[in-house]
Amino acid sequence: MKVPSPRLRWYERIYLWEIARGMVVTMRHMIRNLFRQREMPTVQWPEEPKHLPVRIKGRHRLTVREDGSPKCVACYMCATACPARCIHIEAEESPEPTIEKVPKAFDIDMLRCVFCGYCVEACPEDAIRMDTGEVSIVSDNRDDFIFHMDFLLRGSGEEWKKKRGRPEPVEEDEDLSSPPDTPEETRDGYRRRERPPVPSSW
Amino acid sequence: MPKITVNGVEVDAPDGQNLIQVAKGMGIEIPHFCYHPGLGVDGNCRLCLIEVEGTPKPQIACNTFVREGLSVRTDTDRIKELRRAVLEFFFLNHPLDCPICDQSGECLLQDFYMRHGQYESRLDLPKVHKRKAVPVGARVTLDAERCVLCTRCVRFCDDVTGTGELRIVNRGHHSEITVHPGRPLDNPYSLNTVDLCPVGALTSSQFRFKCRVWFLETTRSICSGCSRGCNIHLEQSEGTIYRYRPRENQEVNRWWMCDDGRSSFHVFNESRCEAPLAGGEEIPHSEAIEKIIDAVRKARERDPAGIAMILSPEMSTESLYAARKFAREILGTDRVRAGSFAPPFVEDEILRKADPHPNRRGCEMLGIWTDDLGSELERGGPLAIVVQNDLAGPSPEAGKRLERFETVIALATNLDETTKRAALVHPVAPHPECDGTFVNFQGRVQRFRKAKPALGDALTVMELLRRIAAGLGTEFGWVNLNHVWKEMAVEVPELEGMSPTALGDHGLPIRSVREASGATVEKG
Ligand code: SF4
Ligand code: SF4
Ligand code: SF4
Ligand code: SF4
Ligand code: FES
Repeated sequence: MKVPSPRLRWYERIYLWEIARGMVVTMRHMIRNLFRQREMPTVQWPEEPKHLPVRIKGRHRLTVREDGSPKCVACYMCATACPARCIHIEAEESPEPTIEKVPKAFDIDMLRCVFCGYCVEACPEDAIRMDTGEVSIVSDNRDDFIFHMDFLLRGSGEEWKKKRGRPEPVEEDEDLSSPPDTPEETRDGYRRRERPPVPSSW
Repeated sequence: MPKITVNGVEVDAPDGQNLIQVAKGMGIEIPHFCYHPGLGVDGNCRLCLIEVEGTPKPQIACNTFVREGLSVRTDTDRIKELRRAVLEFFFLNHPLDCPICDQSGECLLQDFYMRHGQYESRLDLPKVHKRKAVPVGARVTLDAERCVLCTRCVRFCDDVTGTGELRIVNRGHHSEITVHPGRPLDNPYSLNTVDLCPVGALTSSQFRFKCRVWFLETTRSICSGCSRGCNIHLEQSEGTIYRYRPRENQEVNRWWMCDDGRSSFHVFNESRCEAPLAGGEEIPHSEAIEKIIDAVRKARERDPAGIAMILSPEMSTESLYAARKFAREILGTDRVRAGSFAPPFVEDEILRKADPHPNRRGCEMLGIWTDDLGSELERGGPLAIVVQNDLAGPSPEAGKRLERFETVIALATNLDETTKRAALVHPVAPHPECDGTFVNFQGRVQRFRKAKPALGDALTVMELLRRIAAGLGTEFGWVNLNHVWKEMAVEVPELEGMSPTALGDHGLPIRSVREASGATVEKG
């Protein structure tokens, strides 16, 4: 799309006038906030709770059937739709005769997730939802951010931090301070998948 | 060639072809299920309808053969409407399992609905249910509900393998595919029915639920299961190989491949050698190269002619050539031998060959093949460089004989019995991870392409030998396949006039084979 840039007048082009106008706005806010602090829009989060709209996209959860087993049929539609490629699924045969395919592992890397909600849109089973309202996902440990299936199914609150539902203890971060002594070409990671270019009409 | 008219366009069509083939050649799709070039015309699906001039009723394209003056149309409104109607019948009792169906993404029913169907469902009765997820054989899973009853699988087992395991039982809506009681679908070519099945009725138990097909990346390659060298599509995702599918080559494997070949890729996914080892401990790549250079230098000073280079019929022709040149010019030895202790494969009339190696003929062509590798090892020496060859695994005796060498260097793709016995191990890339060629038992040079980057520190044999040679003061100018081929095409008489590009997708026979067949043509 072509956006015509506005033509600037001479006094706009020398900037001084515009800088002064900007300062007026800044000063107006400063003075108003000084004298009428109660009306300030800043929320002192996390001390002060922020009331979010009910339909906000929070962290994911996996919905369950009546017997508590996951509704998910491991169809990979969410993983296919996900632009961040942060959903990792492993499928297996279901022991239940009426169900064929179930997830063995279902992990979401919340550090990569962009909260777009495409996974929810793609799911044919209403098995994944983003209706938890939880948006504050903070930890100082990268491994915590990989949400595993057990937590996504039943976990609540900050249980993800306590490494609940993790299949096995995670090893120490590998030492990245000295570069590995491998020739450049062999380290060219095949894990990096080429993504199709974004269409120009976007 | 007769002249025919398709949708108003006049073409020369080869005699004996049917209209599905002719249209395909022109880029026109005629949807069809039951016809397959390898199985012939059956005419049961009635989806391939076309209008033939001078015939009041629509005809099936699979059974309409080329004849002079034939004029057909595939795109009239009547044909489109009929296709839609036929498809609607196929979908009447179809379960629409697409989200959990392994065929989804490569399913003809999906494709045809999207391209030729797109009607509103009018069915408000309950669907007929049939058996689901039944293992009909050790390697094949059947979902009877998804079947479109095209009988491709039945005809494959009747006509190609001659084992006849599959049949359709019951009538009407209740028809379904089944096996005779106590006679599972266990023939050694059973997985071809999975490829043939246009829908998700027959699926591979091994591939089942492993990966969705749209994540797979496909590369043209060669199966390394036996010396037939079936042409395949190698399919991998993020470095893990998930399956092999046969690729048509009328000279070698036609449309098929065997079940053992299809599972021969596991060796490239499991217990791979990823980092150089010295005495069983991982060492950095640069140190490993230095140690190898050191070992070679020492052995060369003492007894160059005693150094043995043990190659393998699993290596590409290019690697074999590079290794031969390396041995002769850098090591200064004539002891370059390729051989194997692997047990023979099963041989049959269809595809499988007893020789379990993809490139034995290539070794013979380069004059390095030996049937008696044992006595070569028995001689011992100061240094043995074993490339891509597990000697000790199949033959513990050969493992013992390796001890006769003072130093053993293994350039290996996998961790095996031989790498356990080697003082130095450097990983090399197996055939899915490099470009190259194999020469199959017929003497056909066939090209495989790199499907994924080499794992860990692995290098191609060519590149690794080039680096070692450079460390010893000789520059081989090889960077890619073409450089080696330029030399090979001159120095190996059998490969005269060939190049990787000339090989194309279906390969070319080596000179002696080409001349032999040329001679018979002349005589005949
Ligand atoms: S919200 Fe978007 S980025 Fe996050 S998991 Fe779902 S599809 Fe992926
Ligand atoms: S789309 Fe839904 S059913 Fe399919 S794998 Fe994702 S969560 Fe499971
Ligand atoms: S056979 Fe095709 S249409 Fe039927 S469920 Fe499988 S993918 Fe879907
Ligand atoms: S199982 Fe597949 S190949 Fe066999 S008849 Fe049914 S649809 Fe055709
Ligand atoms: S392909 Fe012609 S009837 Fe099935």
